[in-house]
Amino acid sequence: MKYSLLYKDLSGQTQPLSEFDKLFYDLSVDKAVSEFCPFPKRAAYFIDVLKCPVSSVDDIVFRQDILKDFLKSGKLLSDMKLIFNRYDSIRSDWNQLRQNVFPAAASGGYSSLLEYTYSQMQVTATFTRTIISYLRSFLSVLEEAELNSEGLKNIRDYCRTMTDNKAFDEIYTIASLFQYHTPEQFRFILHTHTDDTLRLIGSELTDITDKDTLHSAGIIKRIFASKKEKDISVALGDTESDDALFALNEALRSTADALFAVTSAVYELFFGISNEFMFYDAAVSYIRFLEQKSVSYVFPKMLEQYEDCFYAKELRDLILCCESTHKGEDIVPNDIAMGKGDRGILIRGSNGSGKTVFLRSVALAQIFAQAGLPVCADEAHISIRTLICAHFSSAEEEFREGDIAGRFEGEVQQIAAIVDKLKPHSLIFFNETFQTTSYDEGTDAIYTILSLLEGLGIQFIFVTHLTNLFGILSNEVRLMETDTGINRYKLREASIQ
Amino acid sequence: MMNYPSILFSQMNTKSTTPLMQDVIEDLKLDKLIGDKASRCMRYVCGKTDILARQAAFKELEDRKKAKAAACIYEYISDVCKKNSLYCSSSCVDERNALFVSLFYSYCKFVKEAASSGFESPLLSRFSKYFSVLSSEKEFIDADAAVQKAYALLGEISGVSFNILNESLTLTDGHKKSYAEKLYECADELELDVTKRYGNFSYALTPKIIEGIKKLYPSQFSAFAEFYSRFSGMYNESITKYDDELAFYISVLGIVEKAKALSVLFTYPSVSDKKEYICRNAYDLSLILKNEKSIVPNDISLTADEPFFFLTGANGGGKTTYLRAVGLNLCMFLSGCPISAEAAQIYPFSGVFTHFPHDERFEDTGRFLDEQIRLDKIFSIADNDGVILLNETFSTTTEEIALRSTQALAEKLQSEGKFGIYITHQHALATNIPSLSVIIDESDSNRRTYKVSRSKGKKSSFAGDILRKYALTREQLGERFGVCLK
Repeated sequence: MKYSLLYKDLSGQTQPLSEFDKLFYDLSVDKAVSEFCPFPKRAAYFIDVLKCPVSSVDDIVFRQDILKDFLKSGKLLSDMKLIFNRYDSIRSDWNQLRQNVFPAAASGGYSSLLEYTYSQMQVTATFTRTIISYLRSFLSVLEEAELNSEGLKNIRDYCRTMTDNKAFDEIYTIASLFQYHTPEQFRFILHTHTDDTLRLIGSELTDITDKDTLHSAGIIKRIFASKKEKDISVALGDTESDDALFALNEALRSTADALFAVTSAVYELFFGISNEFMFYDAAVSYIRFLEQKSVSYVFPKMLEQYEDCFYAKELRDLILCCESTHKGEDIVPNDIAMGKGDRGILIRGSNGSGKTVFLRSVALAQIFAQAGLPVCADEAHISIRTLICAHFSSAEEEFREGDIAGRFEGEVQQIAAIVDKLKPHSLIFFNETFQTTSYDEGTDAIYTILSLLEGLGIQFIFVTHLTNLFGILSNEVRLMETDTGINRYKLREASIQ
Repeated sequence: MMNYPSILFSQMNTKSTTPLMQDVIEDLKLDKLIGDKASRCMRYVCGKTDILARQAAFKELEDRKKAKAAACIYEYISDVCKKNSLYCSSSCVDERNALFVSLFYSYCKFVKEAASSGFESPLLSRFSKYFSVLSSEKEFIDADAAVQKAYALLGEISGVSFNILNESLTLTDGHKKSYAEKLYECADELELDVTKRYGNFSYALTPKIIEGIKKLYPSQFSAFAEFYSRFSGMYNESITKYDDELAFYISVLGIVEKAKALSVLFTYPSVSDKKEYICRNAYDLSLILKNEKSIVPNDISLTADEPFFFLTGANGGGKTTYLRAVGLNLCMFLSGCPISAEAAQIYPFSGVFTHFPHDERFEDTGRFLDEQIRLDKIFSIADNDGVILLNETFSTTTEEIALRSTQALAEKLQSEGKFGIYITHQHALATNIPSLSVIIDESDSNRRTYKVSRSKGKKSSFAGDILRKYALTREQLGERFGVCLK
């Protein structure tokens, strides 16, 4: 088990999708994020999370609710950040101290090995107690706030259950036994096991008592007084001493291994959460930024994949919002409604009329929504997509000058890479695809791809100058165009003449 | 000295006097493929009688039930070997007596399992019958009954508590829950995901500690002493020879099974009376070590008319693989094993000789000199019935010397009618020795086919439009996705 503030169940966690690198570049995501999050490390983490679209409605709601808790209480966010940052730094301190112990064993022999093992045990025991204390601190911070999110409540409840459990105290007590002293200052009792060849194959520590305690309680006297008749004393010469040291070292090592395993298991439960706060920190900045710019935002209602829905009212482009000259009211919003049974939307319009801006606003809204973030709209219903993919025709200079075939081939390569990944319920964005060859060839080639998308139940939004497509697809997809008149940047239904 | 019957040789004197050179085992990667024990056995090649007898044994062990019985016997004899080695090096009488009980217990398990194995092929049935007779003897039955009792006593002395204070050690037989156990219980209680780890070691105790344990458990140790005095005469360590012999069958069958899972074919070659080495679709089994999923087979044909070939071709094209396929399959045949090929008929050659590039063995001599020394050694041992496999011999000198030396060596081998293959990069050889070469598909970015043939690959061109190249035509997409495109 491991706790996360990004994933309800960590098995759903994915690595950032590499194909998003190009998409994010085309959509200028980095530029937008840097506007509301000027800290490079935090911005990079935020973008990495965006690159791992969440694939279940529950997980998205999980994030939305945590974000809402943090929006409600800034103190909760800052307290948790502080304490979890410190918690995550324990590992490096722990490793450092464990490494520092190593040179002590260099002199060789069982007694130095014993010293080494005991020192390792002491280091682990110190961290056991530290980590247990942290869990109590988590609980105290979380108990102070009014929580509504499942994610934060889960952590609070788990910490409460753990700290109330007697087993938790017992771990602490065992760790405390090894806090001080050196091996010479203790009496040890081990239970050993031999196999059927009289080889020692197991040794476990069953009791450890420091000599001061033994003396002060007069225990030594009692031990010898009560020594059973059957007990056998062995005077330890050099070789027998090695046997005893070996057995003791193995017993301590076994105890140290167990303490290390238990401590690590507790530690791992919450390790890594401090990074996740970078996402929520950036998310809160994003929302505050929108508020400052008077851009309306909404946590979209997320729908299951099979709904194939993208519905938004008064959708605005985040990139335009980020440009310093624009306030929310300066940006022309558009409505979009694409639902189950719709193949896609074909968009045309003159240059600079807002086609690409619209495409970008939809793509960004889909990506942000699938990361559990609000989108720049008055209302939004968005379904989960199994794949979000885009092809933006690349700039001329990326290809060999004057080599039309080479440029077209580059586009075909990119489309082939998209085709390799296609899954039902994907959403694909095309921006002026296949305009690098003759219009007839381009139309024919993209028509095949769009037919394939239909066959696989995949929706698309396609901005294009291949106007023949509008006639060919007039009865099959929604046709839209940008208004160049009084309603500049507004999209309207296109008609076929 | 007990005369335990061998499961490898029908008679002791059929074992070849000159074993294969260790270089052969290493060059062909036999040691890595089947392990040290089995490869040790393979160094002694067989004549026709033993090849056929072992083939019969392997065929019998292909039966899962029989293979399971053999694996069980092998497990017991391995245990006997391990305990025998400890017994021979015991440090005190008490340890020796206790170890003997344990050793004899494993020995009895082996004997009883061997007796009940019910093998039928000549070599294996002789083995079964021998132990069947032994296990039914009253002396053995009595000893077996006694060892069961004595062995149980070893369990009684296995747990001892050490109380360590200053320089003193007190031994007791009590037991309390350990801290590690308590910690793991806490982890379970807290439902933590913890992997339980306990030490993995085996430590020989000193006589004084054993004496201490003896004082704790005097009756048990006196029972061990009594057992030793009664039954030590019944045990002979020559029984341990079965460890290698059984490992041979089990390791070979293990690799056969692994290879079959990769669709490699196996056959029992017929033993030819005329000198020839003919195989259809032979595989290089050592590629299994590289986790190769698809091993390309090749034909082998060395006959009295054409006993010797050069093998040339591009680097990485499969020359060494081919040579290893030739060598490995021959070694396996000469040990009576199934070989990795579709069909084969092979003469029982007297040995296999390999000369592969060695990089790190010769610090005192130059590489070229080392190559010559190794060659001289091969020629001093090889008779006319051996097969010689040369891999880039003389590639460590100047081109002129290499050409001259290669030519001279090849002519010597050919004139002596030696069987073999010689991989070389020397293309300017003026000789009538036939050549094999690896086939490269030049039409497919010089793709290596790993096929070896006398013929060379033909050039062909590649053409296609861009969409077809990226499988984006209507037909290609429709077929790939199973949808009907408009």
